[in-house]
Amino acid sequence: MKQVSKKDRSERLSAYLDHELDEAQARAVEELAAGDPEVREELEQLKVLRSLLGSKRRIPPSIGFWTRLSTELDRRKREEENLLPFPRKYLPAVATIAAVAVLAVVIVLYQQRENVVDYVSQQSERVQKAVEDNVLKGSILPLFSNVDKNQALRFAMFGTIPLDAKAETELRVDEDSAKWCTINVDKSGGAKTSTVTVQDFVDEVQPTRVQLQIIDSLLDLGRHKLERSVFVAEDRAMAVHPEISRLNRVMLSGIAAALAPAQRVRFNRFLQDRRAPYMLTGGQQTPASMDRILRTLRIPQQSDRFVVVTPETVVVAGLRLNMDSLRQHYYHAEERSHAVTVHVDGLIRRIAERENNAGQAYSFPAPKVRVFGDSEAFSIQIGSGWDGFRNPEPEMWVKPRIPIPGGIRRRPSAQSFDFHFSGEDSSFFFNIDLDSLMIRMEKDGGGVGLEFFKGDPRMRSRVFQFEPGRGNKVMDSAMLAKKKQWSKLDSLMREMEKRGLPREQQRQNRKSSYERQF
Amino acid sequence: MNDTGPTKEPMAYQTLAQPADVPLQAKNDDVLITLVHQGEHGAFRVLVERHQERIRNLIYSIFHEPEIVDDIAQEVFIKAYEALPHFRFQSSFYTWLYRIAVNKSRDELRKRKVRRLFSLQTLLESSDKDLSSKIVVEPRDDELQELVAAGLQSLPDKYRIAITLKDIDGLSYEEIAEIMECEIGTVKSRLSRGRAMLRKVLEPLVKERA
Repeated sequence: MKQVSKKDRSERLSAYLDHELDEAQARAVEELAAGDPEVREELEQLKVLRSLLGSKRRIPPSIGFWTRLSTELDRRKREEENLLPFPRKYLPAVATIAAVAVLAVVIVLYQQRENVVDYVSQQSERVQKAVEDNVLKGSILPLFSNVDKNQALRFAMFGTIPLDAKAETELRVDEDSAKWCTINVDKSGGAKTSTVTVQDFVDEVQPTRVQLQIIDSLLDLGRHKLERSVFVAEDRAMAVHPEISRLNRVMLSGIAAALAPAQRVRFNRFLQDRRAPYMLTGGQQTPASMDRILRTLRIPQQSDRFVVVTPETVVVAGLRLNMDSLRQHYYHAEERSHAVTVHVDGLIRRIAERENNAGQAYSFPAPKVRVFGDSEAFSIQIGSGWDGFRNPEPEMWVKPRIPIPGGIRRRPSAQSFDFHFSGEDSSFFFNIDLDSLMIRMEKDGGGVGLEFFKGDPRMRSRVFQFEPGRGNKVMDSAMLAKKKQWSKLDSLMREMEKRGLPREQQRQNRKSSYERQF
Repeated sequence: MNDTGPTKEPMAYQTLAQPADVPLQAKNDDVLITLVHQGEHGAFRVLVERHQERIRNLIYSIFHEPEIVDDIAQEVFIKAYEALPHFRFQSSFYTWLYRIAVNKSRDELRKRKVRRLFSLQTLLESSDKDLSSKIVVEPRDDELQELVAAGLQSLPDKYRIAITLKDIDGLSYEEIAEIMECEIGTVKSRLSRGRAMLRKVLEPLVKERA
């Protein structure tokens, strides 16, 4: 046997012992062992070791091994049968079918992956929008339902519409300035607008039959827009479409545009006699402008974005309302009118509570929306930069009779002014609050026209106070700018005193007090 | 684990050609397996009773813990029962069963992280408690058994299992390679290395008896 390593030698000895060597290899090992005492000793020790292992004690037989095994097998079988909804023998077939089905779905999804991605993203957007829009909870009720044409005309003339049958709460729209429009919800009794009817309008303005048809369709379009512009939810949230803040002026402009110049003069008088806060101004009537106004009213609201006011916050949210389903609400509107009033009252009360606690109004930065109120009313101010606004300015033949912010309840104190006036008879102390301006100046015909009222006709709760020595006066800022004319305030005071006469006498004197040269 | 065994010449099916009136206990493994395939539950009982002692002793040799032998043996036969429909007669049944037992034992060893009672180093370096000192005096027969078992337990698993299959169960290199899923050369090497380690541990006893 040629020289091998000790490791190889041990392996061969081990294999020799196990009779795993062929005859020649076995003979070589025997020759090696015969000539080498060390190898012989190792071989002997391996034999002893195998003998010892072979004599190793066996474990005693287990009694009842099969019984325990078969019991366990039965138990597992029962468990599996209970686990599977079908016999176990069908498991491979079911697994195969399931795998094929999964594969088929994967293939279809892969082939339609673009559509799937689009669908998933659409669903994601819907969910996100649903979360965003989840500001109106419970059933949504239209605030105005079954608005008739008389109400539509009154809304056009006064910018107000009652929320309940007793006119205890009303909605009023106004335009403070070029930058802000205001929607007021007032439950202080409302302005008790004159009970103007379309018949009154026809009697006084005397439109032709064709004109009346145009005006009729205009009022019809306006009342439908009214019905679709304000909603109230059961959680006392109110959704207002910003277009409503200018809707009345668009309607009024449309009526004016439909009339001939002479009729427009009568219509202007009609507005003045009923103390409407608007007056008709210049503008050239053209058929094109009338068509444009009607088209403005006919097309649906450009945006589905509503200002949603809740007791806690104000948000701008898209409301895709199904008008077909809302018609059911219209149908049951009479039954639900009480609920609507309750919701609105609750909203006003809670906004007032919130403001009392927080001490400030809340606002929404872009587009600019501000909400503030007290226990009687709340106002929503909407910046004119709102993208949902239509801009019918060229056709706007309507101006506020008095450029005052109707219903703005809270103003920064910086807009109040105190100053003295010393007359020949007595000394007066004036507190002029710009928040309740009553004077409007016009520069028509070379002179300065002055028109003033006792208090804002749309805010009956405000009482004008005047007493010698101390009085709270209201003035136009333009008036204040002309400080050199302060001396003429005494005549203003006298005029105001006349205005302080009883209502009937005041009405009789009204005409003579207008457009007085100052 | 490939329960159907490595590639090998298929077993001869002529073994199935046995008279139908032969009792189950007299039928060979392949016939019994065929009967199990056909739903004869009693045939599996015969297979269990025929091989349970060898399997139990293999497990005992690997663990040297009598109290766990029946539990592991039960798991081995349950696994065999579940895999039996896939048995394709490419190896002998007992080789296939041994492979299941060895794999179950390995799983159990891994799971339990069995610490060997006597590490080789401990055996070599310990003083009065080591095996060498005990072997100086001629041990009684039961003590001899314990010493051999302890020496076997001191070996790494792969050597212990190889020596058990060869020196206790008397399997061939080819069968051991199939059971341990390795080459025959590896079996040869493991046996040689394991025996050398065991000879070192039990040296006084072996020298005295040589």
